[in-house]
Amino acid sequence: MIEPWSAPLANVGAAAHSPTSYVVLATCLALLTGAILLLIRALRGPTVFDRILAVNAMGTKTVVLVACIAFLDMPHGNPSFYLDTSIVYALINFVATIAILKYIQYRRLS
Amino acid sequence: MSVLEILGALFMLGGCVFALTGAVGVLRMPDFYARLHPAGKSDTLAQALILFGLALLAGQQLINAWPSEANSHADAWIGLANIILKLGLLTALLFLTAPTATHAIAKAARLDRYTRLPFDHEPGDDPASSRVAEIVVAGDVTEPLEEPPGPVLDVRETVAEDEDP
Repeated sequence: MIEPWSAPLANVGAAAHSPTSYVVLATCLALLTGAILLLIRALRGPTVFDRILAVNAMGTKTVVLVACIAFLDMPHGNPSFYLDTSIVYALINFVATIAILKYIQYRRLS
Repeated sequence: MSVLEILGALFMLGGCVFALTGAVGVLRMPDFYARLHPAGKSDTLAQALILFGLALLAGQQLINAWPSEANSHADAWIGLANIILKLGLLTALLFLTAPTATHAIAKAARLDRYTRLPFDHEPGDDPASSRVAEIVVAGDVTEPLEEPPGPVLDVRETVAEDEDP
């Protein structure tokens, strides 16, 4: 017999020590390492296209990182909000890349 | 860990490997056209693998929360199905936009005659440098584009016309 008020606490404890949360945390750390390497390329890049390429790849990694953070937060909150954030960030990332490329090529946005 | 969680962990591990190798490739490749290759492809595959692994983890929770006689909380599976749907939508969105953005970057660099790296080398001096930009294709921009200024977003002309009367 499980009391209804003790069920969420048991769920929190099980999820906080389960191996899947460590897998998600390791994925987050790997994505952060990749983003740091891309940031080095974006700071060092000899031309503007290298910087745009590195920042675009960093944006893709950030989208996946936000989705992973959603699953770190799984037992406490609703991960659906984090996924909304990552979808919007993916759209903004694409539009910003195209806009910056157009500005670089034509020197204006019209 | 159940079978779905182990499968999801394996997919996420593969995604981590692809993400790290893609980042190292972007950092270490010799010139711009070579850097396009890891940035364009391995990132796309890495995000697909990681998001599919996350969807498998959410699928295990969906199976746990499936309504039955012993489980009276019948509303939890709707939120988990929503999460899996959003993960699929995000994967499809990144599959469409990431290669398109990489293609746009490559085309902009090519039309800009981005060739400053290998031109001061003789052929055979540096085997790591590419000579892609020496090939002349239709649409090359050898000098900055000269377009007539548009009347819509040219701020200075608009302001000047407004200030005339």
